[in-house]
Amino acid sequence: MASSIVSVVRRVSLMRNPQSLYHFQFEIVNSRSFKRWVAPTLKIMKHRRKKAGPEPLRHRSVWLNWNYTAELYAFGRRLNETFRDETLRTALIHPSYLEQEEKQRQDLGVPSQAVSLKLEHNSGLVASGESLMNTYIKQYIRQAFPKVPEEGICEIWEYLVSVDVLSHVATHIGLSDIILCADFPPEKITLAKSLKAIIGALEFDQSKERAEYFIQDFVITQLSDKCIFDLWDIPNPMAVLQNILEKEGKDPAEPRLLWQAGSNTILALYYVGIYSNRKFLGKAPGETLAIAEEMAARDALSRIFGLTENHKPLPFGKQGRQLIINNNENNSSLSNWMLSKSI
Amino acid sequence: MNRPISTYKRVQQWAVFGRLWFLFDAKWQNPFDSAEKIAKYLAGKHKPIYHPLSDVGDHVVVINTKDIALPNKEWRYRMYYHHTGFAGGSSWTSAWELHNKDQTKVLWKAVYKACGGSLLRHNMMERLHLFPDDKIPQELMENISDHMKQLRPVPKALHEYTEEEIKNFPKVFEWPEDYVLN
Amino acid sequence: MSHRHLFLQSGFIKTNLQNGVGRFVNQLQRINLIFCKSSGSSKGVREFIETDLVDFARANPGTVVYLKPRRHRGTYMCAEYLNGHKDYITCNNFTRDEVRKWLEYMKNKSGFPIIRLRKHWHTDHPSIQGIWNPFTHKPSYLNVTTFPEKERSEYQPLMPSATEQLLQIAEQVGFLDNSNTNNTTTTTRNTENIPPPLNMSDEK
Repeated sequence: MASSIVSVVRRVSLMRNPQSLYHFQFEIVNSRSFKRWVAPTLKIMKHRRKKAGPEPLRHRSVWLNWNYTAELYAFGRRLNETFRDETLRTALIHPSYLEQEEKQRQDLGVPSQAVSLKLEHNSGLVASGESLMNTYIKQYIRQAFPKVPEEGICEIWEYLVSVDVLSHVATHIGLSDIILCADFPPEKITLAKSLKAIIGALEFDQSKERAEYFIQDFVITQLSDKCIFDLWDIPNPMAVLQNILEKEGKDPAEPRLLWQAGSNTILALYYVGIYSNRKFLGKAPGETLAIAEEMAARDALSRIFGLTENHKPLPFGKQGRQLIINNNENNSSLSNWMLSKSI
Repeated sequence: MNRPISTYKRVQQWAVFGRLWFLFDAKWQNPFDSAEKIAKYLAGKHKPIYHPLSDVGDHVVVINTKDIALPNKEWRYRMYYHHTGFAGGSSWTSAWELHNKDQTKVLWKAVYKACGGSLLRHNMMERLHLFPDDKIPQELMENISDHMKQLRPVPKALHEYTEEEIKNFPKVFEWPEDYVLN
Repeated sequence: MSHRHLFLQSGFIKTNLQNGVGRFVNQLQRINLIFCKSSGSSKGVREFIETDLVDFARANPGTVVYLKPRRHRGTYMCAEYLNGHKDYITCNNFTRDEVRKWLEYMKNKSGFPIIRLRKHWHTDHPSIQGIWNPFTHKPSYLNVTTFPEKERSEYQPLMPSATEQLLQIAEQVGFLDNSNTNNTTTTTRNTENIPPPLNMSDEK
């Protein structure tokens, strides 16, 4: 008796109150049977959806259930940060929004002196946030990878502060709903700027340290699943390696074939090792000899610079909080780079 | 530069799933035992990344199939059945007769059986290359990366020892001078 | 018999923005409670709003709670997550306790749709010693060998054969040295693939 009347509504079957079972005894809707009307209905609905085209994109504030003040408060508390209301509002207002508002008022014929917009845009905060982010990220990466030349540090930094990464972080923090800008959906550059403005606001409201921790937790963590050496595009790794060895006074790098399989097939595999005076530097596989040699040179460089796959994990969380940045100088550039100096 | 897959991971993937070419010397080997080992390599079961649907089998080049050694009376009494499909088309061929006609067939059939009955069998057999002697085309020779170890020791016949070796081989005892060796 | 596996998609564990690597951020952005002010099916939700809602909102300051009273409609809650995903639960005829528990469930979710997890763990560095490749345990002198190579192909016995044992005894006893000084063939045997000699100390 009870089995035919079990509800098929999602997730309601848990914690069913035994008394309420009697309430359903005569409701045919909740029977577990093959409903002949479901498939045709869904087909018609799909056809109608296709005909009408996709649902137009609307900003979240268009619906009734929206409270901007509550959203701002929740945004701060979600990230475990306390913002002052004015700073946060300023940080989220873009110049384009103010221009748009001015234009609307002009169109409506409202004189600008009578009801002036007492709002400021976030350019100042964007600038301060950007400069803090740039310096801190570089300091952090230099601390984490002391052996990497300055060019490498710059490339890693460039990836982290790129518009793609910052906009990705901004959307997934919840910024895309609360920023005020003229463009909808918000462009990547707008989102990136908003994130920088938030960092600036944090520095302004609280302290530089808290802003730095924010950068560490949200921006630098984007490195944790990346192959870091690959972010640095070295066009001719063999030449770079030879250069370094020459400066050290060591023998030039000698590529040697270690293993090969199926050289006459399309699935050929070559394993090349790089040696300097019989001392092993690096090895890598490849589809052709040229690729294997290049990859082996890259492998040798990654070992020298300490950017291998099994490098020490980046300090985050508790370790990240205990990190003390004690150097403000750049790492040596590639042309001056010496193995003995960096150790 | 952010790529969908890093350059290092790409070549690593290529290497992990690389197909090797093994050389197996069938001289003095039992074809049925060897077939088990060859089928294992053709399937890819010697690899920790094995999965039947992943196509991780290697190539096996077998040489000297004319010198295989069947146990006991198998040469005479192992029969291979064949039916042409037409009436009166059934035939039973013994191993020595088959070997005379085609010196790779005995080992081929043994490996075919050892591969099992799955749909992957024909794919595996495509990767088996059999040669009656040790003459292999140069293209295949260049592909080979390693040997498959033999399963039986190759016995050394008396005529393969040099006279000096025979003379100097340590003797446990010496025949008396007037003993007649026949 | 369940056929859910046929429709349930499969995938790997995901987090939003490496959540947890730095600080942990609760993924529930907004929760909307849609209910009717008079109908009986919304009674539980109404009771929840009167009693436990404020506690929930205080406990989760990072989540915005919206109440949407709508006449003549079913009761449901809609959760919006930071990755843009939305999740709905129908709350018709729920009790106050049930509403509270399902709300907790929504709060604790990651925001990704429920799928069959192929692996219940994720790591960015799955290997410490390096991932296996076909040449991991192969010596590099293979590249300079011309095949067929007898030593690489030979059968490696676990126990020495009778002939081999004899030769080992002969060597130990010194038989081979006494027999012939010109002899070079037996003393320079290839002993690489042959197992070590058996203990013949009592023989001597």
